Amino acid sequence: MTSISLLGLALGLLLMLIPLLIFSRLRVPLVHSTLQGLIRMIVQLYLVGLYLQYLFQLDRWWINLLWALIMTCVATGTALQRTRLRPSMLAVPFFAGFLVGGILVGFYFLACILQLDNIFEAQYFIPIFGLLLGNMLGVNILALDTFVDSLHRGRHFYYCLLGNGATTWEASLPSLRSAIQKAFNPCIANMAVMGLVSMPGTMIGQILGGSSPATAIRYQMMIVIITFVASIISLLTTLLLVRSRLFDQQGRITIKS
Amino acid sequence: MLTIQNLNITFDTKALVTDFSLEVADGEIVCLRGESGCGKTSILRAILGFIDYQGTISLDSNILTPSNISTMRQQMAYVPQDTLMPYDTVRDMIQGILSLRANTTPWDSHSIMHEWSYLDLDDSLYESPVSQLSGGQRQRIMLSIVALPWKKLLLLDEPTSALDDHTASLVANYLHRLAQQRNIPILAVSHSAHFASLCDKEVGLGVR
Repeated sequence: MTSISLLGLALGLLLMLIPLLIFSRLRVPLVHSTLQGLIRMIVQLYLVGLYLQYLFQLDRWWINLLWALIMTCVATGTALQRTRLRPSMLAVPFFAGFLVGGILVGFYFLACILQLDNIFEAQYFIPIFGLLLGNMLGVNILALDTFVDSLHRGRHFYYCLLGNGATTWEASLPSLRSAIQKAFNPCIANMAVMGLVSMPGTMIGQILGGSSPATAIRYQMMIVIITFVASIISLLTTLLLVRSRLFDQQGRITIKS
Repeated sequence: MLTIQNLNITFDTKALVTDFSLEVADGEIVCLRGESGCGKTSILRAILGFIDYQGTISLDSNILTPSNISTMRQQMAYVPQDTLMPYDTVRDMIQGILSLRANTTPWDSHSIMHEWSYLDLDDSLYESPVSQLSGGQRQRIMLSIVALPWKKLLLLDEPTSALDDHTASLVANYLHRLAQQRNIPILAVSHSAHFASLCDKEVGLGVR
């Protein structure tokens, strides 16, 4: 695969002048945050690249596992910052949700689909776990916020069902349905137009890396499927764990909007 | 029988209900009547375990407690004041509520429509969008749904607030029929003097 030289990289970065100039001329207040985001991305990616290179050379199962746990902690921290609920209430459910979804589906992919001899092999284990985490993070945040919002907006409906003998699970099921629907609609829409409207990253990466289109397509399909499945497992784990903190013994909603 | 003894409800340190006691016998309809803010809805919410209270509430011989309220609610039917439900059609609304595990009474569209015949509701409403129903239709449909399973207590929050006197009388007759047929206590809260006069007993609550 043709690598990108430093000159090429600099030329590529020059492209960013176009949006920056447009923002500036139109006085869209995004110049500062775009520059900040760009610099953060460059520094972070370089640091992670260096670290991953070191990690790939070492390739010890326990170090890889430890790295996955650190990634899970960072994802949990990010999720906690982005939701409007009390962090103390969600830390454990988020962490457990990410870990359960990532481990179950990630190991299934590595052991059963790729049939690797060593499922902890850094080259596979770390990117796959990272990919799953990224998707689970977005889905969990969106779904949980929608769930809580829906419970609050429809609290009279929740209490109507509860007053007619519903369990908290039954009474909160309509909110759960709308949360899942809102969180997964973009994934489904994306899946439906894949290859036609959007050229997926994994596939492009594989083709640029020298793989045949047939191999790239298979990888892409599997990546879409495992991110989808990991996201729903993770979301349900998080919701089941957080449920006992959203309602009290009598089924009353205990969280404030 | 529903028994309430020395009920006290406070809201933000303000005493909303003080030392309130009431008995609703099996087969009897009692209406709690009073102006907005007098605490009548809070009494219903206390029975349902939605708010904290001091005092004793019991249904038959079972005292309601935080640990048994979820089970006891399975024996209750409740018509809330706000009956606008997030269902597309009346059929969805019926299915959504009657498919709760607590509702074990078998039902079909005919059994619902049979109830509607007492409430002046047309069968064609079965497929109607919920958003197109009037407030009064929603109240009566809600009542017919929650009243279908045989429960031990029926609680109603302003069941006739969107109804004219004639239709309110139909609802009262329907409630009398339920109370007699099933021999269950029915407790309603209302600010309507007309509806209260149609119940077996009227209990006035003053604004505090």
